Amino acid sequence: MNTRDGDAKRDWQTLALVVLTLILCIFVANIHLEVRGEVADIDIGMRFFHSAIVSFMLTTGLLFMFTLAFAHRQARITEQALGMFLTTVVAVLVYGWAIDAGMLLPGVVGDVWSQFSTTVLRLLVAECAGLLALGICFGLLLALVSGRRHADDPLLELSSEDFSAADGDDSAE
Amino acid sequence: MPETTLLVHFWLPLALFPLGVALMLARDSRRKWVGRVLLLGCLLAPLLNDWDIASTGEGQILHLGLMLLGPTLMCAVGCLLALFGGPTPFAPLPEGVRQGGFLLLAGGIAWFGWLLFVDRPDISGTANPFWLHLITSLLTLLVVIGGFAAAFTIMMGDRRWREALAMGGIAITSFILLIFLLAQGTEQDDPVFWRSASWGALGDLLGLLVGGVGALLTFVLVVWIGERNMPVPEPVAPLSESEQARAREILAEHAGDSGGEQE
Repeated sequence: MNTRDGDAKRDWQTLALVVLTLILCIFVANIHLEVRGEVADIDIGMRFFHSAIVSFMLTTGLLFMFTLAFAHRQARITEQALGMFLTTVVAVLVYGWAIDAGMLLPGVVGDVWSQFSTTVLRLLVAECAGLLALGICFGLLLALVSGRRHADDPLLELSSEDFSAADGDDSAE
Repeated sequence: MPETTLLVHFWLPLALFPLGVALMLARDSRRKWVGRVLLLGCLLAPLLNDWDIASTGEGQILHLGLMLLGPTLMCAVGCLLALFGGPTPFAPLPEGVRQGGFLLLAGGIAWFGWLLFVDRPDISGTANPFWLHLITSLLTLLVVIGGFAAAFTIMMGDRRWREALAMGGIAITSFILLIFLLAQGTEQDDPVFWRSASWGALGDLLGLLVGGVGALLTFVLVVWIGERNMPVPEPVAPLSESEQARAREILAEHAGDSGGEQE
């Protein structure tokens, strides 16, 4: 890696560009291969909205539980716990309001629980897919990276048992 | 609201699972025990129910999870064997284990391919409705993560061309497979269903990313506000006479020991 100033930022910008390009390619592939209106019928905007709100709600709830689990006498966590709890409640209220306003997932029963449970189940599947993808890519990468053999350090072969020159220095002191 | 059985055997364990994990990670031994019991309960609760897999989404999810357990474990064990069968300085395994690990990993991926093209997970002859969603999400993420890993390996690595080629190969293969499924489908599923599933999966993945990152940023903001509003610590009271005497004793004891060693 180049250690000149500013190169780390440029490297990460390049990596971000690679990721965005790949996402764009997948989007274009989906739209280009649409034949019978599958893309228009799915309403990706509503899927995105429901997934975003529910994942926000679940993540803040999870962080609230973690805050409670790690609380101890010396920690000042009142603001943190209260903040995450209130954020979760606000997310729940916003979601309920959105459902009542008619922002529903297509093809799912219109009550709040059905909309919420369907979104949670889809998010669970997506998270499992994410964990699988991460495991396959980085598991294989780690196994390959660790296979490189290095030459032994030449310093390890030097003997450190001959003290004749060192004894002479001690007698001088 | 869901039925009581679904609430008790699926949703409640799902909601309490993160709490069990967090308690297991706590330092207090009592909390660790509570976390272990909670986790055990969360894992056993779904098994103690007589599931109607065909008609409930919750049962379908569990069915899918069980179908994927085999190939996932095979890939995980293969990675572990390949990693520790190599020239690692810690806990190395015998020499030939590394090749066996790669074979197991390939076998696990082949098992996934067999499930995809030959024997997709069915429930009483009907496809598991989450199967298409899982595969399209998996392939999409393999393209993105594999591409990122390849670029990262080239830019940050030291002559890691083999690794970059492997990651790039995963990304390209996943992309080609995704295109094939969107264009041709499989024997059991028409390409229309694959295209619908893929488009919906993109919305779900982006929503997951935006919602999750938004929640983490909110957490950071909440902690920052809390830290900013914290008052200045009060000054500590000076040591009492007895505390000063005790401190002098400890210093004299340790100072006396170190003076003896120097001589």
